Amino acid sequence: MSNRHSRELLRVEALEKRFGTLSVLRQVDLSIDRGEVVSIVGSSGSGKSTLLRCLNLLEEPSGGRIIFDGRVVAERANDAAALKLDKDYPPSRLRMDVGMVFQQFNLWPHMSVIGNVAAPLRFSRKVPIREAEERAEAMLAKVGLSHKIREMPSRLSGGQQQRVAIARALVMQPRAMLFDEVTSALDPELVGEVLEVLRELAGEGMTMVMVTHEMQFAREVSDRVAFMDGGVVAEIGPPEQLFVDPQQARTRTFLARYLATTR
Amino acid sequence: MNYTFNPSVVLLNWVGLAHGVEVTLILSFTSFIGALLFGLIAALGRLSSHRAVNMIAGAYIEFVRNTPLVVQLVWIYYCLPILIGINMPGMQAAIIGLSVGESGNVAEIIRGGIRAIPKGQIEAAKAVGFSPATTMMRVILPQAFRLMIPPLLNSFVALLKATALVAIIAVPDLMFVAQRMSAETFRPIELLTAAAIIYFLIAYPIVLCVRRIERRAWSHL
Repeated sequence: MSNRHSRELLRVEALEKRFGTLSVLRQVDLSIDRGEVVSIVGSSGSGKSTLLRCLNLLEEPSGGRIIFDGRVVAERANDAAALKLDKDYPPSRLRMDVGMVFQQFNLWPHMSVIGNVAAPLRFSRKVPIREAEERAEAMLAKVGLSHKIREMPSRLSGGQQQRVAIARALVMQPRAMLFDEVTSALDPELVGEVLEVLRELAGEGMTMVMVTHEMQFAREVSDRVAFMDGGVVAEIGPPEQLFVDPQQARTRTFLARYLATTR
Repeated sequence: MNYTFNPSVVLLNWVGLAHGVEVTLILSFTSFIGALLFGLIAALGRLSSHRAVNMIAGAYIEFVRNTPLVVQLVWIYYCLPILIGINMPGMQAAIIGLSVGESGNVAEIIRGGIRAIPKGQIEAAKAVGFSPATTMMRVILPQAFRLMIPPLLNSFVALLKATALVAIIAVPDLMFVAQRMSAETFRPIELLTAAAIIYFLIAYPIVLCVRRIERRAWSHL
């Protein structure tokens, strides 16, 4: 049942993910409101990316429920049970509403910049090519790449490629966006231009969940920050609380270690 | 050596040789289409996540690649008719044999091309709601196809050369014709050399073509 008036947009309940015998997510509960920006931090292997990838079902959960806009999009009682999907709202449909941007850009190298951005509209939403390209062009203008639309992706810098990837996700007019360490593969001098786009998007009220190592940025734009450790959300709260006055010992250890390496 | 070289025998027999070339080309093209078809099916089977399908396709590819083509040809010509109870003309047996024989290599080329596309690109396609078929048609195949062209052309050349084996089941291809005429005219050197040159003249331009494509592909990197 869809409920547009509820504040909550996305929710996971008792989410479990196992790869063979390795348990990556253990009973994760998380709720994200409309227009909220939530950052997920934690050391590598803590389950951050896996959690994010479960939100648009790029990873199939081993257990638990995923609820988007009041609809149970995936549910699984346990490993033995089959994953139950919403037939009227399958993963491919969910992914049109929940965009994702990856660490490695993942642009399609055989298509031009505008081809990359227009493709989701053309092939998922079946928008006619001319209209798709017009909308793609407008989206590329938004991320500051109007002058690059006919280029091939390989001719762009990393920061530019990542902005194309963001435009490719945004052109679908998603209701939420997932960002998986989108600046981690960039040279330091190119990080700023990508963060600028994210900052603008957050300002426009987009619901965003981002896995990031950019603590300063997370602190600045997030409504809440979740710290993950050992496959659970160990602590979640407003950035000033989590960064300044963490309640959990392991959050403090993580932040102290992080500060020690960046100083 | 008391053999007097007489090239005119080639010119005198050019009609026969031309018929041989015709059969060789028909065999090469038809069998290549067959090999593409069988190879594509086998490759898709090999890429399937269905375990039984995967194993059957794997077994087919390995068996075909690890048995001599001559054995496959002769088996299809002599044994298959006994088993299925219908008589098979040599030409038909040759086309089936060559198609099957080359399909193992073709399957590996197709599989390699598809597997070469980075996983991240496929995930990006999923993440914008592409169906598996759209992902295959719009993301994987356009790139994989470019990677497959040079090895597929090489495979065609291999097949073209392999057609010379069908002489063994009496299909009148270039090799068969050249051999028969040598026996009739007692001029094996002229006629077999001519056959070799004709094979070379067909195969070499394709090889040059492959080299050109490969060089161009590298210069893009």
